[in-house]
Amino acid sequence: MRIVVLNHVTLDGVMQAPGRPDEDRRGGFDHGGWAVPGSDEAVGAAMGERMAASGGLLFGRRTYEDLLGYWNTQPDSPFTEPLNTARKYVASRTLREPLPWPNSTLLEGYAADAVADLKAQPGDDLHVMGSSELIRSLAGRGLLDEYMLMIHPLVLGSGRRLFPEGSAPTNLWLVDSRTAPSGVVIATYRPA
Amino acid sequence: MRKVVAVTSLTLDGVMQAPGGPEEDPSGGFRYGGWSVPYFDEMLGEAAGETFEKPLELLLGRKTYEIFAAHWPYAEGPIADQLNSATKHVASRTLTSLDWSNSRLLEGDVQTAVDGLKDEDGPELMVLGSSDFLQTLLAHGLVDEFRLWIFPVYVGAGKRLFGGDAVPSGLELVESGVSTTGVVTTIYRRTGDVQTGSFAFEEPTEREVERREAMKAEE
Repeated sequence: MRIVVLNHVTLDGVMQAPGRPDEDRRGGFDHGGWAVPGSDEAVGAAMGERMAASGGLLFGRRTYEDLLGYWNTQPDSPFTEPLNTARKYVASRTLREPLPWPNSTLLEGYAADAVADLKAQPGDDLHVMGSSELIRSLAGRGLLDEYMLMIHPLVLGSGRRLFPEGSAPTNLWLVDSRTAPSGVVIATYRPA
Repeated sequence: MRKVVAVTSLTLDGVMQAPGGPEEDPSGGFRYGGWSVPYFDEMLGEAAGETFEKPLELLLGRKTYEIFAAHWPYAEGPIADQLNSATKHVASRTLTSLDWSNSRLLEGDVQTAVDGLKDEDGPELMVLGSSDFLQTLLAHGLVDEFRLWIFPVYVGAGKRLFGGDAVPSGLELVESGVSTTGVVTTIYRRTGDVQTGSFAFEEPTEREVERREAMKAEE
């Protein structure tokens, strides 16, 4: 199965806390929720197409705890059931089985080794959301097959970035690009 | 009132250092100079030409001025003619005189000087290269428009356009296109403050409050 990153980023490459003010305030980040105004129907449709053909979700520990923990405590949330139903793989050196939310499998040991094993299995795309540290380790091992980046029209000047300093230089192919009415550029890249 | 326009080529990780060749700016041990070159196609060539068709003035940092002053006076063709005849405004704390035709130093502090230029009538003020000077312009929110070409490569090091001092800004995407080689060409205009929102509910649950506390403790 392919490993595909689906992430919101700002024009300056920040991926921290796109969805809510209190999602991730590490480093004093106070722009949480920046992806909300740009997430129009076209952005939703692009995500929906991917989710409809998803073989499961692959998360780092923080993102798993945030997304599942948050939405499972919200009454009447439309995200709770799909998140719980999806097959989930969680990379963590500190969590232990059983994981707290349904259909979750812990990837033990080195995340990159475990993901390399998953990739070798047949199946639909595994989707990575958030998970900046996991992405970094997978990108370094050449394990990511595709990025769908929703590039929002704003600059934050601070925050955790998708491609931080020290990323191994990589050429990519742009395989698709469309523009949402909100000004979000939805660009899909594959490492060359 | 005229606009300050930054015309910049970027990697996917936002680096703008030395797009055109290894000798352009190897400072900081940058080893990937020339990263934009393999992606030039007919469309980008034409678009580059169009950039210089309209009258313009240049707003340059000292290092980019020195690169240009060692090149364009000795070059021929429509772009050379345009750049040689354009008025150049140069930010420098060390240069006292400028020998490239129609060049003048920005006097006093940058914000006042650039605000003064913007208040004048005249063609748009185009910033080319000038990564250090751009940090000052961005820190004061002085750039009105960005014409960015985003190349399908990331390099993990080098001078970035939005290097961290940038004032958080909302932008409007006014144009976008794609080259045959996968370069996304964009024009953004500055609209003001960043708008945020929330996919969340108004009142956090007890468990969510605990999670936020735990996350803060992890720092």
